Amino acid sequence: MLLVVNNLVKKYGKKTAVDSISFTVNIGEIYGLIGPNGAGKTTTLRIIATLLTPTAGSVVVDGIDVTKNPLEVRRRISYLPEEAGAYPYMTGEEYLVFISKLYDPENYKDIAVEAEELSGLGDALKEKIKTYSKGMKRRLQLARSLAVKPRLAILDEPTSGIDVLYSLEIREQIRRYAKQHGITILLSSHNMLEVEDLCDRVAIIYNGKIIAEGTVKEIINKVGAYNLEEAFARLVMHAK
Amino acid sequence: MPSNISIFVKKEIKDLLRDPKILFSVIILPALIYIFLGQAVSFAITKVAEESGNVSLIVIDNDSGEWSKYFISYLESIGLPKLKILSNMNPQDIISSMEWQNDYDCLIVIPAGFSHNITSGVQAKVEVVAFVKSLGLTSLTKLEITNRLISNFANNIVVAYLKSAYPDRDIASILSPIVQEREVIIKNQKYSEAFAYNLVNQSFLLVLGPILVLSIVTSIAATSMGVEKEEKTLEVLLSLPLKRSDVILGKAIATAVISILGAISLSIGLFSYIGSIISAAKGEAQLAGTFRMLIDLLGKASLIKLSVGLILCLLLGSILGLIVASFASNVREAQALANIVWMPVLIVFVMLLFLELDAFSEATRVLLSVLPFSAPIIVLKTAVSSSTYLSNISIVANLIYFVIAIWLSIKWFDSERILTARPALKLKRK
Repeated sequence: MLLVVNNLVKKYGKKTAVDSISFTVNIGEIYGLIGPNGAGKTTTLRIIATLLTPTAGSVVVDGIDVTKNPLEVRRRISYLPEEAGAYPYMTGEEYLVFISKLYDPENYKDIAVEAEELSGLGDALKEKIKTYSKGMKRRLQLARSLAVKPRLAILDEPTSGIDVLYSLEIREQIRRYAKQHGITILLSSHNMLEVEDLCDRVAIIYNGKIIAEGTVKEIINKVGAYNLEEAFARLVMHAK
Repeated sequence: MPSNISIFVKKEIKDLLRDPKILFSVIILPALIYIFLGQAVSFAITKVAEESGNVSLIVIDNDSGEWSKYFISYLESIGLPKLKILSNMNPQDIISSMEWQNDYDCLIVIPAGFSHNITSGVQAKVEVVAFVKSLGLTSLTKLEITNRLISNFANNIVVAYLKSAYPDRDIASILSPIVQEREVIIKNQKYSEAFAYNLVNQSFLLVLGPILVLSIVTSIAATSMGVEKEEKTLEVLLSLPLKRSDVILGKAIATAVISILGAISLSIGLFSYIGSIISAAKGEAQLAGTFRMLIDLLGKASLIKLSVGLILCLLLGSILGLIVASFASNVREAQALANIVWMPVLIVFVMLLFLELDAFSEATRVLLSVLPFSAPIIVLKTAVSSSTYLSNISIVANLIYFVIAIWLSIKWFDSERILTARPALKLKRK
């Protein structure tokens, strides 16, 4: 197993954002974390990305505890936050080279070239990032997240702000990278179609607790719904 | 895996230099301001110097005596551009006429009895009226020139009296019975008083340098952190395979490098400014000579200590700037918060600038030397004294502050509050 989350708790003062959740993700698996706004998805992703410290419980990535050796964890992951910006006065090309160098100072050129192709931004990569649209910035961020070939890619709303056609392409890329390079993907999304299409397994999180977990088919069958969206709605309504 | 700090430092420097706000306000503007200011002041000085012998005078001679004639002859001998001699006239006729006022700078009225008073040993009086045509720093220059002409003539009268009274004496020995020969000893070297004044003035410039550089460094560090927050790049940055210490030191080093570039630009501007002024006052060679002497006088050891002290303070200022700016959510807030660091630094600098260390007890001197950011000024202040140990104390103290600041910032950047921290001081809205 590449990711083991065990009884994870995160409290902000008196408010419990994540309430004793546990799940595991296998190598090369695409795992979806879905839930309404404020359910605790991003907090969970941030803890796994070593940005937040858990109040209780543990998170182990590739055999390394996130609280004990965060730097080693960071060398094995790439994290794409929901609102991720890039340095406005760098060109897209320079940004990808910078990130690639941090992950692999020896083979950074190959990684950067791969990221450039993955972004699909073409000549725009020579332009400064401040001239990019929201969608272009997202493509750049997603490209850098996958091209560095992490052991675990944590993608928070990966297709947010991207048009339908490119979203389809991105899903294909995520699937391809997971399969070809054995990259484990942990993603959160509000787009149920995307989750249904991409994820091998899904956890539905509500009020900081996991209220359902399994393959998309298992979850749909469990509540007798037509699709994941309906299953999600029924499960959340039931939990309220 | 080797440290990624050099990759991060290069990226930071490139990114900061490309930010037009920083490029313009830190690198280009300081040089331009002083260069243009220097040209303007130099032009003004040249103009004043050109005008210094030029005064257009109207003289109303209501005395027509022997001494008023001498005075008028004296004025005629100078070769003033315009000199109008009138006699037996009411000064009010001139004062109330705009035509006269436009054509002349000053009016000298020699009243009746002027010559009689001089010959009888009574103080004689003349009335001087200046016609001000515009308000400015040099508006009353013409009045000063006129005063000088009258004083010169009065001196001539005194010399003439003394010569007739003491034909065998050296008049200079009567006018100035004691002559001083003044010298200044600095670091066992003898200097003329004028040269020592120049040295002191220029050492002030050396003190001014660190103040200006430190004002830049906190602002750049704050901007760098503000951009991370504003552009939402901090979350990604902190999830990259970089040690927290690499992030902080990388930003601090990049900020210090940009500040030094800013300081070089500022120095070019400042020296151009001073050069323009001295050149206008015909003293450029003297300036360069004095500055070289100042550098020689400080000596290699002090210059090395000065550099070390300055770099330590730059890094310290930069790290503190980063910490306070991490409470901001955008560049504007970050720069406002940077003043929290900058103001105490300014207070320390200004205080040390005007204090004479020798006037204090040993304990107080040591206490002043261990103040944060004190190192560059303490090094400069003690460079020519026997208290050079104070500069060592100051450097060690600031090194300790730097290490503490690094430790605190790593702790802070390691904590999750770096992503959510906001300034605590908020006014409650009713």
